[in-house]
Parts: sequence; C-alpha cells; structure tokens
Amino acid sequence: MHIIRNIFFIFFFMVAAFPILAQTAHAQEEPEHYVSVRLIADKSDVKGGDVIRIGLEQTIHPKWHTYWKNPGDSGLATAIQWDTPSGFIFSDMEWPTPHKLPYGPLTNYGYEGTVITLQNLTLPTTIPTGPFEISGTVNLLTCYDICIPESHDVSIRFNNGGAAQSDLIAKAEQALPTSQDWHTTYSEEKGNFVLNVTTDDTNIINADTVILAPEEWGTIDNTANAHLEKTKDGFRLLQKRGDRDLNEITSLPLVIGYDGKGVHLNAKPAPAQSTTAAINAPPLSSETMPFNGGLLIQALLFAFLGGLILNLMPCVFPVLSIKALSLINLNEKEEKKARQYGVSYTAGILISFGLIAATLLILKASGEQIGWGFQLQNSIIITLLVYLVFLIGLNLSGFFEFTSKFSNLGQGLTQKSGHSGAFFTGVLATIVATPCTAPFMGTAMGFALTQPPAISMLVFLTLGLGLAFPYLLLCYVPALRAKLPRPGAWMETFRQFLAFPMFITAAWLVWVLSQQISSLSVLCVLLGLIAITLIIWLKKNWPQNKIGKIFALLLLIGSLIFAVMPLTNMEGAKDQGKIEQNGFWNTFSLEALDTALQGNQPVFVEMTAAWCITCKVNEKVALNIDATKKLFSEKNVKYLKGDWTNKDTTITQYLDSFDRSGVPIYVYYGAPDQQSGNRPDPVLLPQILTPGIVKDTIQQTKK
Amino acid sequence: MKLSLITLMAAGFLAACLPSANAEVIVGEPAPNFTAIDTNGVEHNLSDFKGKNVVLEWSNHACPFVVKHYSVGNMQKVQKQATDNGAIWITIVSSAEGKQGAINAEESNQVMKEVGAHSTARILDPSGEIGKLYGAKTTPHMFIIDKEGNIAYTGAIDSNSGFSSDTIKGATNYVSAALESLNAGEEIQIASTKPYGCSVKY
Repeated sequence: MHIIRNIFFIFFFMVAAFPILAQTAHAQEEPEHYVSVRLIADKSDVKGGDVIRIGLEQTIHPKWHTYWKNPGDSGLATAIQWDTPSGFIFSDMEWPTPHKLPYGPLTNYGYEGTVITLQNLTLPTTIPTGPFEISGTVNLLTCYDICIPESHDVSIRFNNGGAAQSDLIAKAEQALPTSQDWHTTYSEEKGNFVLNVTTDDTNIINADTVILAPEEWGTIDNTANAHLEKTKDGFRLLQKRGDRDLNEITSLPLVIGYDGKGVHLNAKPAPAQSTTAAINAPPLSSETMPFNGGLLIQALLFAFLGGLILNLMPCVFPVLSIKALSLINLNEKEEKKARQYGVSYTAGILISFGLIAATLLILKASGEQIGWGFQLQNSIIITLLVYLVFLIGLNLSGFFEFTSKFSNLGQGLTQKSGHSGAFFTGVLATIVATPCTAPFMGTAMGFALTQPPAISMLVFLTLGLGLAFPYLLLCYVPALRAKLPRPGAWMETFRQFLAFPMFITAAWLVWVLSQQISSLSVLCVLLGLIAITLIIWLKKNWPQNKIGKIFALLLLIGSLIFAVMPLTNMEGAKDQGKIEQNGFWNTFSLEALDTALQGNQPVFVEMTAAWCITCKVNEKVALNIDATKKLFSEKNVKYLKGDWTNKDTTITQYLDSFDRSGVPIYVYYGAPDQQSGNRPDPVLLPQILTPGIVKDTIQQTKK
Repeated sequence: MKLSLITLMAAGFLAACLPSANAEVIVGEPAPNFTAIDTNGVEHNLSDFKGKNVVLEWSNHACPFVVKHYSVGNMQKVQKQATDNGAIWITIVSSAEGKQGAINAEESNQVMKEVGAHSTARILDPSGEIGKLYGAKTTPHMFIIDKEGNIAYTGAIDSNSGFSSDTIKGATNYVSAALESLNAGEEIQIASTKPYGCSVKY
C-alpha cells in the first residue's frame, strides 16, 4: 500500500515539475547537470607524508548558484564526502569570500560562475606504489528560480604522470579571505548586531561596499545591509539582528567581504556592560567631536536665540503673555517681589530643561538610537501634550479656572502669585514648549547631542535661559514694565483670544498623532478631549438631587475611562511612518542609498518627519516645486527621502554620521568623476532651503 | 493636580525608554494572527485554534527538500502523529504566481490526496503575505504555536539538512519532539533551529 502510494507520489511530482523544467529547457539548452565539478591539486607526483593542497572546482551554469558554508536564509552548503582508506587526512574546507545573493525577501551566501574550495590532504607515510586515486562524492544544491540537488562522484589520480594545476590552486588561494587576528567583539544594540573591530587596516574603512557574512546562522538579518562606522581604533559594523538569541553562541567566525576581497575574523562576545557603566560612559556616538571653543560659543549663541524665539511659538506665547500681564498689577513697591518671581520662573525652566536633557543623555548613553524630537516619536507623550495644551486653551478661554496655584494663568490677572506659582509656570512653559523645540530647534540640539555630556547640558540650559530671558528682563527692569499697557477689561478679552493659539497647537499635535497611530486611536484621543471637557463641565454643574448625582457620577466615570483609554491602547497605524511615494522621489533605506551611490547618478537625500515644520516648509518652498523637479530630472538626480516621524534606527544612524540628531537634513552626493570614478565629498545643505540653494548646490558640485 | 500632571509626564518619558516591539517571530512570544481561506474554501483564523497546538508547515510540492520528506512518507507520518494528538496542521504554500510550487486549490487538493497527507488544511498564499508575516524562509520551514497562541518552535523539520531521503533515518525530528514535549507539559529542548531547504518562492 505504502509503496503504491509512494510511486503515485513520485509520479505526480515528476508530472508537476515537468512543465517548469521543460520551460527552462526550452529557453536555454538544459544541461544534464547545472554544476560540473572536478578535483585539482598543486602536485601530481607525491610521496608518503606529503601535504597536498586539493581543490574542488565547481563550474556553475549561468545565473545559477551554489552555497557557502552558511548558506543564508535557505539553501545548502556544498559538501564532499571522501571515500579514502584510513591514513589520508583532510583538513576542513576553506571557502572563498562569498557573495550575497538576494532572492525576493530572502538572501543567500554563495557563488556564481566558477568557484574553488580548498583543503589540505595529508598523505600517510606509506602510500601505494604506482598511480593511486583519491575519490569522493560531492553533494550540492544549486538554485536559480528553482533548486536542484546534485550528487557527483569525483576522483583525482596521483603519480600517473599527469600535470599538477598549481596555477589554478594559486589563483584559488587568492580568492580565500585572509585570516586576521584583529581583536573583534560582537554584541547586540537596539535590534542591531554590532561588530567591533580593532585594526590599523584602512582598506575596509575606505571600501565602497562591505558585506558581513557570519559562519553561524541567525545572527544577522541576511537581507539587511551592513553599515560601517569608523571608530578611534578601527571600525564597527552594524546590521539588523537575526532570529537567534546571541547567547546561544560563544564564538563567531565570520568573513567581511569588501571590494572583491575578504578577511576572516574570529569574533568573541563583547563583555557585558552594566547599566551604571553605560550611564557613566561617554556618549556612544563614535565620532564625538573634539572640543571646539569657537563652535561652542556659536552653539550657545544659537541656543540662546532659539530660546528667545520659543517665546513667540503658538504653544508658549499664551502662557508667557499671561505671565507678563500679571506683572502689570505689581506696583513699584513690589519691585523685590517681581525679581523673585523672575528668578523662580527661570529656575522652573532651567530645572525642567536640565531634567529633559538628562533623560535624553542617559537614554543615548545606554544605547538608544534617539535624537532630538524623540518626545514627538512617542504617541503617549503627544497625547498627554494634546490634553495639556487643550486644557490650557480651555482655561484661557474662561471655561474654567484652576483652583490650585499650579498654572496661575487666570489668577495672575487679579491676584498676586506666589513663588511656587512662578516656578511651575516655568515648568509649564518648558513642557508646552517641547512640541515646538523639535520642529524649530533641530540644529542647536543636534550639535548639543554630539558633544560630551557636560557641553550638551550647557547648550540645553542656555536654550532654557533664552526661553526665560524675556520674562526675567521684565521682572528686573521696571522701565520695561512701565511700557506694558494699562490694566483693564481688555486683558480678559486678550486672555480669551490667547486660547486659540493653544487650540491650534492641539490640532497640530493631533495631526502628528494621526501619522503615528490608527485613525481609530485618533478618534479615541479626540473623544478623550471631549471627555475632559465633560468632566470639567460636570464639576461646574454638579447636580443637587440624588438621581442627578448618580447620573452625573456615571457620566464622570465614563468620561474618565474615555479620557484615559487613549493612553493605554495606542494602536499603531497599519503602515507606520508611511509617506506617499511618487515618481519624483524614492523611499530612503541604506540599501537604496548604497545602490544609488554605486551607480553614476548624483544622489539627493532628504530626512523629514510629519511633525517637522521646517521640513514641510522646505518641501513646499524649495523641493516639491516645478523648478526643482525639472532640475532633478535634467541632472538625473536620484532623490531619496526618509521619514523620521516614528523612531527609525537607520535614519538616526544616518543623522549621527553627519553629527545631527534631528531633521531636516539634506545631503547631496555629486556624480562620480568620469576618470577616477570617485564621488566628490557629500555636501550638507542648510536646514532652511530656498530653490536657489538647491540649484547652486547641484550645479556647483557637478563638474 | 500639579503632582498628577508631572507624574503623567514622567510616565510618558519613561514609556519612551521602553524598547519597541519586534515584529519578528520569536519563541515564547504571541504568534502573529492571520485569516485565510483554505483550498476547500473554508475560512480559518489562527486565533480560532486557541486551546490547540498548531503546526504551520511551509511547502512547495516541487522542492526537492519537500519531496525528500513526502516521498518516503515522513512528513505524512509526523502530520498523522500530530493531528491524532489533537493538533491542527496547516500547510502553507507561499509560492508566487508563476513560480515553482504555485498551484491552484484543486491541484493542491489533488497533491494532498495523492500523497496521503494528514494536514488539517492547506492554504495558498501567492501574495506571500503570511510567509512574510512569519518570516518563512525555506520549504519546509516549520512553526509550532502552543495552546496559548505563543510560538513554541521555529525552524527545520529535522536535524539532517541533506537532500536525500536516506538522511531522514537517524535524524532527530524537531517537530515531533517539540509536540511530544508540549503534550507532556514539558519544556521544549530545542525550540529554535536553522530551517533548511529551498527558498520560499516569493
């Protein structure tokens, strides 16, 4: 019964597979085997005890391939089984540097064309007199669109007067990766397999293409590209991690292929870093810039100016205005009080900025791939900000008054506020400023984050000082206060008007959220806002009778659940960080960039984010316009665009490589020189673009 | 009021520190859910099978490694063992249209019948959606999902990656072993291996 079934089965397979094979055969002469194999040796006359270099040569049908030691996502390594009598000792197979062979979403390591693997054969001290033969069976899998296993009997004769193929063996030696004893460690960092290599060698660092081929399976995502970073004492290679727990491996032999050559290294796990060590360690950025006094002063100046400008942002301006107006009511005798308020307010801002900066620095030191703007890559933080800004808007519009001193927004007009009030206004100003710092303060923040922690902190605090400065000035200079308009009924009207910038900020933040979470979750957030309003309304209109109270209580509980729900159940958008693709540009990935840079086209890289106002303005004004489109098509510019709306390690690393920690960034890689084939250094464009800047960059770089 | 707001902000910042979810299929993590119509027109949702062990087998009837196991009845044997013990066995074909192994429902049922397969259902996935969801790389590539809906095993069918059916004898069948451990309530000894075989023809 079984036998009959099996015969049926094999028959069916043959029938099923036949049309496929027949098609291939029709297109091109179908060979009996897709791979032909033979044995070669560096000697033909040998004696007992000799060590022979023996090679297995595979000649593979065009477009077909066979596999390396680690075949990658699928496939099978070519193997040879020797059937020699005892005393003949073969060393392990030595493999030439493999190639990456992509197949759809899968990637293999292997060879096309002709490939020779090598082994040492040590002969026994006594060998047969006269000619003798070494034979074995080669099992290999060869694939193109389909896979075909092949089995070949191979043999080679010695001492029969034949010629040795020492030239071919010598050539095969050249194709082997060179073994190096460079100190090499591997570890996992944020979803990446990271290889740290200590070496003086600069060939790999300067190579155009680098591939990482571990001999163990599952350590890396084979399809991802290796990303090389120069370090003080060598380089590191980052590639998306594989499916396997790295702890299963105790040592990892691997090959790094570059420009047609290869090195063979033996990597060890990196010693585990304790969390405290990671926090105390200097920032991980491999290219911490050396201290530069001039640059620092410039950065501090920009940070201060940036802080000043923040005062005018729609999210901060209302808070600050109300605070300033509260000073009108202070009479001249209260001079001292005014100064104290100024100091408390400044302290509130500086301490909050310090805390945010410290959070960021600690996260960065512990290996998080984050940059400035990280606060807007988290939908929960944005939701909290939406709620907060909306509440402030409701408060300003007069819908309700805070009873605590915390916000002090309304009371400031009529009552004298305390120190804690001023302090917390500072905290509040910082918090409401966070959505605005990301879009507008990218450059200063980017500089700050590439610096040693102390300098980073200094830049952040200077930014805070800039934010605090106008109010501080008002508090300290009575002459300025005298210039403020006289108090009156207009102040209430003005205060109500200031609610609108807050509502606009809330609307904008909801739009940012809509890029990150599903439309249903956005609806939840909007319902949450209504729930908050309802809670406040209930509090104002708490019923007197029993039934009313029960009804109100139920409403209150329901609203509370609605208000909190969006925070607990954020459903990611199905296609996260999607940006609409069109014919004008392509989505950025390291692979896309690598491929583009290997070609002859000039390449323009843009990194953007939905919450980045500067990016959107640049796109409208300088990039997404007919003139630039025409220019790009005339100069045949490849335009790659990356979206940093959500956290994206690849983009963060790319930003890092330009010492930036935020978007936008615009980089132009000129076309390669026709004679040398080298590209000019990439040009970093300013963060504020005009059509003229884009045009000049592209025309000047092109020789 | 002020305290609670500050606490909320702090919680928000803390939430930012948590690592983001990895989409890969990891042993011990919940299996990605999918809905598909099998070759008999029956709709299956993976979550319907909660409370049962589920085996996913990626297949391509023309791949020599699939033939290796089917031609000597090895895959059928494991399927029978599994389904007799209450497991659900789903064979998935992710070959894209025009690629090796791409067949229609009728042909697929014919293959099932010819070989005497004991799988519960066969799903055709020419778009490769389910294959990519699970990161299926080879045929065969095996996944076991436990009764709670978590991934219990991923990888090869057995320990010998040779293409000859002769290599089945003496090889450890990881799928049988894992299912036995699950049924006995024991820990699975080998829960993740390198899958071997032809590439899935996406």
